[in-house]
Amino acid sequence: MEEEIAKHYLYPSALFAEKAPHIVDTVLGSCVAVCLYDQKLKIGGINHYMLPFWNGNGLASPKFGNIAIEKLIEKMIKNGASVENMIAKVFGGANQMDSTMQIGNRNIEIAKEQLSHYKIKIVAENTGGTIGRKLKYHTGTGQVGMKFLEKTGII
Amino acid sequence: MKNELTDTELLQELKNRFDKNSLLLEEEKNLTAQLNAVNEKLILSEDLKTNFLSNIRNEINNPIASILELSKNIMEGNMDVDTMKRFGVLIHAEAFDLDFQFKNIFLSAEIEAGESPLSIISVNVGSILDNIISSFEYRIHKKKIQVTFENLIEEFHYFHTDTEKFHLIMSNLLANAITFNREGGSIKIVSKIENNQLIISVQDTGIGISDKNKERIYNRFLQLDTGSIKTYGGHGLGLTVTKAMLEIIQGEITLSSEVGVGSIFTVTIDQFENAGDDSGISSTDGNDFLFGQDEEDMLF
Repeated sequence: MEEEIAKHYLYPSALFAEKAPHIVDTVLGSCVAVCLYDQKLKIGGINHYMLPFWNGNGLASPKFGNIAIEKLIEKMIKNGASVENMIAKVFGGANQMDSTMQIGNRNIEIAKEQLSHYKIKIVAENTGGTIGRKLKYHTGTGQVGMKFLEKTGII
Repeated sequence: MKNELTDTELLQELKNRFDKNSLLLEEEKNLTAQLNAVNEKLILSEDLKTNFLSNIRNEINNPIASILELSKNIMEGNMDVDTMKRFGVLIHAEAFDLDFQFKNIFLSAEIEAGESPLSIISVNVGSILDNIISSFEYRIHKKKIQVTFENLIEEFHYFHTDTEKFHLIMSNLLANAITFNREGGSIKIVSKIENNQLIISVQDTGIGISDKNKERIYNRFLQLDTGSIKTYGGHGLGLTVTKAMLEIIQGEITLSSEVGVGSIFTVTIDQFENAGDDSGISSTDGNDFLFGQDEEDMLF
């Protein structure tokens, strides 16, 4: 029998990183989620951002990729993780077909840029396309289950 | 067959490339302009933060000084019951203001940290609004403002949302309607539910907001009225955190305003489908997340 693991539903613009293992669920459209995992400590964290950059308006929240990734790394470090032991998995960033804004692509781009800045290796990714995704991230093992949403609608 | 172009085709191709080039140049110009704008905003943001820190000192120090002084007077004890009661009211009013400001600051910090969990429950909108209005009674009374509340929501109709955030959103709108109102002015609050959306408008007879400033008011730490002698108190976080909270609970805020006449802020909030889900897992689109057994799962 597997031990009961705490569950957490991650809303857009939020992030989650705790020492105890959790199963984190989230749903992505054009949003991107970066799952970080410290292989040595076996702890993980995940964010869920909607736009690539904070433009100086409103609160500097993890709604924005540049802030969400930095804050997630910070929080992981606070939990004892270290950047050298971290690996990343990146998901989401679907693009609405009729939109020229390409928010999905830009969201993916910022993840790659920032992660390479911190020299964190992206070991898996499933990004782009036009279909939304559901994620299930086990922060204790670093394993991510993913499923495409049935409807093509973007969240 | 050789792949030679006719002169016309060649010219057309050249023209296409030139067009593309100028388009790229145009885009580059746009990008530079955007970059500049962001840069300016960042500088402004830094200034605002500095401003905020010096501002918040007054906002916190002054009420605390009054609370200390007033309570000391009461402790000394040589006063009649009426005076004591009056002091009690003043202490409560100062403490209430402090509490309200702290709530805004703490919630902003939570949202910026990405740690402001939603807790959706069934809410009686009318009674929450009644409660908020009466909590601001002292300030309303002091400024001789008439508040009317028209609740068009059926009795016993409950709306699913995050109460704490809803409460703070409405408190901010009411607080602003009082602060920026004129002495003896009025405030009208109307609440209704249409198409499963909660719509609340707060109308004041205050100074109003010019078109130019309508977007700026949501910027963090920004107050339109700055300088050493500020006419209005506060720290410039209220509308920023209000807007951020609304985004989290799937709401929007709109403003119509005329300078010198007043402002109407209207919030529209979507109802959450799953209320009181104690697993903490509730989806916004009604999907459930318990997939696991089926084979289409991709593992990474």
